[in-house]
Amino acid sequence: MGQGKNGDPLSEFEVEVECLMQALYLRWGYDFREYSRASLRRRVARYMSDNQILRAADLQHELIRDKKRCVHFVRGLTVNVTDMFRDPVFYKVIREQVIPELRSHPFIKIWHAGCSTGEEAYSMSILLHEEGLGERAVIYATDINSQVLDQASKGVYHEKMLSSARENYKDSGGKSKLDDFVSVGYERFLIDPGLKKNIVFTQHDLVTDQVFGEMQMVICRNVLIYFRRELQTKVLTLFHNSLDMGGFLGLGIKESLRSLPNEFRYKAIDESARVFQRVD
Amino acid sequence: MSQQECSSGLIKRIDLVVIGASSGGLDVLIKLLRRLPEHYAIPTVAVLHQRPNRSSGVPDMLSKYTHLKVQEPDDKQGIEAGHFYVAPPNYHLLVDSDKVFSLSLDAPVNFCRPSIDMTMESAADVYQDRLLGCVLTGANSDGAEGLKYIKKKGGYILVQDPQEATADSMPKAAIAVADVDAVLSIDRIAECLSSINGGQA
Repeated sequence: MGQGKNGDPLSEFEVEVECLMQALYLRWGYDFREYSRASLRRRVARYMSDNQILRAADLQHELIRDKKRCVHFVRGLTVNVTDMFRDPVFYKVIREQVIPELRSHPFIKIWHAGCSTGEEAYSMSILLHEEGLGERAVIYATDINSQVLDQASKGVYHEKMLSSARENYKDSGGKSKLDDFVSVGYERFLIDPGLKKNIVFTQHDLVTDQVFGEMQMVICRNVLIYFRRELQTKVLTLFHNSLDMGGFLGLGIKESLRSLPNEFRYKAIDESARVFQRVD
Repeated sequence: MSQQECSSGLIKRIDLVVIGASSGGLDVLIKLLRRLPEHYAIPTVAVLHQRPNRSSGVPDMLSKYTHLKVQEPDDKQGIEAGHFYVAPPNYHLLVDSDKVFSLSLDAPVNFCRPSIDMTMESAADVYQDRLLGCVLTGANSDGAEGLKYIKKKGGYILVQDPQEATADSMPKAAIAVADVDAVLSIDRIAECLSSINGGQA
């Protein structure tokens, strides 16, 4: 980079963060070089203050020598939040406008990229079961972070999340009760094991890993927001190449296709819910 | 301190305005927008604490009172003149290096998401001394650190007069923490904004 894009020289801390990202890539292969700087810098600064590290250069010194420490640091850079049926309007549009089209497929493959702790993958599984498609659908739920995947595959969540989950489920057009799909006890709720059968949790890095083939739907919500536009373009290309013709792409409620290469064509199934369909 | 005047003659040039408001904020934003003249076009961002609703309806509400294009920005949307941006509920709104917005779901800062401090600090990193920050009514202390940081980067900072504010703790916290350039009524804040760069973007 050298300079900020408006020509101002970068501050000392900004330069140190650039160096740190380069160092993590060269030393351990963790590639955060194309992450949005504003939030990345904040997370680095946060980690430093939590761990009483005064200079990013000292942090770099440590992280290139201590792999375990680095794994811990990297987790802090990627932790995301999610909810059951987050943004109910998204699931409502899937239910009402995408499911009818998916019904014609003998077998339905869905890639949920950046699934974090799995709440939204289970939400989709609930929806598919309610619509009678549970038996012929498989959800590949991936994340860069193996720790959140372990949590996801357990399917156990804190009870305090349950009331908003119930409300979201209802608002998303749920046909019965969320409690039909979870069991509650010991301040936790547990996803019905039957809903796990068609979910495959597996590690995948959108920056460095490859295409998932011939998907009928790709869902990636609130992950692209952490990427610079160039990396967004690369990842949207990856999604495009993973999608069947006529396949569906679901993004976060504030994410758009503005970084999509011009030659790719999508039609908005619902612009405000950010559900699109590949048409070329 | 507490200057009662906006010495806009001292302000070299402003390319972005960031306003933070909380309790009572919607009414005061409407007041502000109604007082901004037709020629006002400096891109302006309002970070308003709201309940984490799915869709806030705030842009539609504010649109009725202004010629500016009011919207909740998408991620990586470019910052443009003539726009009044409202931070989407439940996301942090950051300004990124090439003058685009980036959204984030990082943990709330002092129980706030969107956090006024986060928007102000990220904007100051990019806009440096061409940023004006303003803290209005609110019942917490968000925005105080943000203003302090804007000032450190050479920007200009205003606070709504606590006596006028519906909730005075946010303006008071800002005045206590940051070396504020002026403490003004909302009418005077509107006048000040309209006079900077002749109000042009």
